[in-house]
Amino acid sequence: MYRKKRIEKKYIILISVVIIGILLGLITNIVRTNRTLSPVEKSIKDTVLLGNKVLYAPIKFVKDKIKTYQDKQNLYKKYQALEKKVKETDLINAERLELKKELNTMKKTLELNQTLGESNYLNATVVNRNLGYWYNTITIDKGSNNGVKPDMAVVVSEGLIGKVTKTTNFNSTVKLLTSDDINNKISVKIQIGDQYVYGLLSGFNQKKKTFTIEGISSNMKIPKDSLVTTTGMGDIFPSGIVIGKVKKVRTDNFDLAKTVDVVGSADFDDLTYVTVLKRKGA
Amino acid sequence: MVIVIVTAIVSFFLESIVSNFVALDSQLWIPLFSLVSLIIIYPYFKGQEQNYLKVCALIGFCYDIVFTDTLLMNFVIFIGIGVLIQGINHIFSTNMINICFMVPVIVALYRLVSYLILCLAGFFHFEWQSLGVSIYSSLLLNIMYAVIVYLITDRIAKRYRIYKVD
Repeated sequence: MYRKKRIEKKYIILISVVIIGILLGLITNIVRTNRTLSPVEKSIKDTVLLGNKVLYAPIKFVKDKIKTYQDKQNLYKKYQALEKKVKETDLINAERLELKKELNTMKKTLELNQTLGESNYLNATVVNRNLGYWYNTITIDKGSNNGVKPDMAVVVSEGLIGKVTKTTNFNSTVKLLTSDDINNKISVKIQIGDQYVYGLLSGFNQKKKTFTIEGISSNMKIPKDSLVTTTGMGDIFPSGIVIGKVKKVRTDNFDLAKTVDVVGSADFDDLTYVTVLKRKGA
Repeated sequence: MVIVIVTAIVSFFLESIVSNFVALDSQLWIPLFSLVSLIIIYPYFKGQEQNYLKVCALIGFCYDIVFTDTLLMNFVIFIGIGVLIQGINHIFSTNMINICFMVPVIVALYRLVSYLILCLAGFFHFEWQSLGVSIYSSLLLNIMYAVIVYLITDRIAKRYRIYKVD
């Protein structure tokens, strides 16, 4: 009879450490790379999210009814506010038509096919939110079949909320601006009268609930409540999308550049209906 | 087995639905129902430890695809947590108090491991405060959910004489 050769404990530990190391490397690589979803993943995700949509539909119906009822309570005040805005609308429309005419003339002169601010719009509904505390993503019910592609900007009526990261046939994942990802940087500009100051939106401060803009080297004074919008550079976000307003300006640790805290204009807690922007010509 | 399937599916979909009602910067109400369901369904797998791990792997796989778009991360983490739950259940019996003890342990471990992986991948700089906030913001709702689901499943198991490990 021969004795079974037992693997020594130290070799088991060594093999376990190697397997854990390989797994960690594999997982880190998968998490890090901007991979597209395989057909199997897409079909599983679409099926599960369809079930989720069906189950959520009655709850959403009730939620919308409650919101409508709450809105009706403040109806008269909103009517008065809107009445004021309607009077200004005719003036704004005339100005807009004039500017559009000038833009078309300039495009013809310079032989430009598109500008940084032109987009097509696609409305979508939020079906799922991932509150994994670091992911900060939402899932919308439009996918590649509707023309959605990764890196498209997603907005609400108040302003920018994020960008599309992954798409399936019928759904898309949107990474929000409030995500803690240090690679999440956007080129922005701050409007000061007729001039602009350029910077980089580098992250979201969870404590202060503000976005941080860094790298502003201009000596121009930045007043509070200045409007912050996207520049359109970087080929992802169209130009002119509102991000928020300036709350506070301070200098960085080396006193070389300014850092600006921006209050976001969009309400990230109440995302039900969103719009995907597709840049014309993309 | 029906009770296992129903608990897992309901927890999975409920996590998605509840997340639509929670504020993004919530400090108390972050759901992790899919993870909690692993604790609730374990007692119904007496003598079928491998099947239990397969179910953990399947839930982790679905969680990966639907919620995070990663492929192996939660798959591996859920299997690891399944092994840990098996180990804890060999020492402690299954009752409501132990459920309340296991949920914080499992949630803290899950947050720690996933945060470490994301820091290794270069998404974040490691901060103890960030980790701490993410752990305590996930505790209250999940403990409440675990207690409620345990009571319901326990009652159903007694009524229909479904065998479970205590």
